[in-house]
Amino acid sequence: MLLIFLFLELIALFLVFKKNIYHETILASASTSFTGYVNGKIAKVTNYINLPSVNHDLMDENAFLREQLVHLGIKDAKTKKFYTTDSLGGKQTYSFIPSEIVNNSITKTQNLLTINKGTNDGIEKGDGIITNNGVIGIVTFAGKNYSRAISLLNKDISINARIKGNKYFGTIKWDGKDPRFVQLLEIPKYISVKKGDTIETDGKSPVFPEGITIGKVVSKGIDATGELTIQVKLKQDFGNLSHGYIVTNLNKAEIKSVEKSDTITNRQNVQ
Amino acid sequence: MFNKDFLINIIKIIIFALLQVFVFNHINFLGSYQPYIYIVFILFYPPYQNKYALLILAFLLGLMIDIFEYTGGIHAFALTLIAFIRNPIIKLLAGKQEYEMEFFTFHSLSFAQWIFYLSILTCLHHLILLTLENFKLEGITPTLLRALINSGITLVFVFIYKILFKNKVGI
Repeated sequence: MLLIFLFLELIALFLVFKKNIYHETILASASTSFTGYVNGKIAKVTNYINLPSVNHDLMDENAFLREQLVHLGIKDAKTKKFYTTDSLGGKQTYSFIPSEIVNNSITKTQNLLTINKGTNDGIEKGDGIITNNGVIGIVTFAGKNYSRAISLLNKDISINARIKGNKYFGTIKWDGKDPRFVQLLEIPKYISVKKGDTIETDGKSPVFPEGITIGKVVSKGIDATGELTIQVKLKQDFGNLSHGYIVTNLNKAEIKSVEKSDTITNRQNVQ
Repeated sequence: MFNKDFLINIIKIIIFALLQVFVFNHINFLGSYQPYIYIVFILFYPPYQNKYALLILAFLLGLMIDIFEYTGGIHAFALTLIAFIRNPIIKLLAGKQEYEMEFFTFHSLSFAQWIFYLSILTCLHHLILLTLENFKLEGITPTLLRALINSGITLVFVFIYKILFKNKVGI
């Protein structure tokens, strides 16, 4: 009895520490596609309940995009052709793939999402997920038709972010306590941060484009280690996620290869 | 050990795992508390059935939840532990010897003993689960609090289950 017990517990503990073993085995794709499929069916029904608010969000977003279109001053009246006023040559860096979020949790300290897009749709591991209200998470496993993603409400995530007004950047993390708030860390103490300041993505990592809203500052304080911790109220209500966009950086491969061939580290290797 | 009961129990744990993953994982109270109803299987496992089978079934059930939720082995660990200490706790509560366990049913527990049995196993399970999930001692007080509130919510569902399946479960 005791032997069986200890044996099983040891296997369980091994799995606890080797959590990534699931990602390497066939179980990952099997369980992702199965839960994705069933949750997709469930989401189809429950989404009807959220339709009014989803419609409202989409209308807001449409209005916002239309506004941007006007600012860009596109469409020539004579030639009926679109042209951009972008001085950088208008090369596209990010592509946005619309997706449904079929599974989502907020009660744990390591929350995960399932989305109904996979490698067949061009999703890769490491892509970002956003909604019109802000950052949601990062894809950790891409199956054929469904993918798993780590939610912003996860202790393991850290995202580059900055204060909108003065462009000072820090790291967004979640302390695992309240699913409505995240924390902005690593901001220098002498920076003046006011209540109500907008926190947005920084664009320093290739995952998210610059300037995507995350939330608003509600309070700040010095924590036990003497660092400034800023409480940020999320704009997106994570209890009510249904649609989002997967952000793929089209230059990701190039950025990665450039960062690999870092001259400083190379020199250290030579010595 | 691998008889008809074992097969029926395998089907049962599959149903419990699916219920947990697809129904009860979507239920949350006040934003951050959620019931783990699959422990009902361990709580109401008949004491006269094979106890070695119980350990293996508990491990498999936990593993299924872990695979679906990508949580490593925390559910498997917590459930196997509960399954292991379940019979000793019954013996302690009812004052039975090992050889008497074969004829023991939950009918012979008083209401207070019954509540105590359910509460202590549920609380212990949630405590181990949430501690492993956090895996840090610094947040021990909020973890304790969360475990207690979560246990309360789970217990409500356990009682609903008991009322629904009154005749089969006993008491």
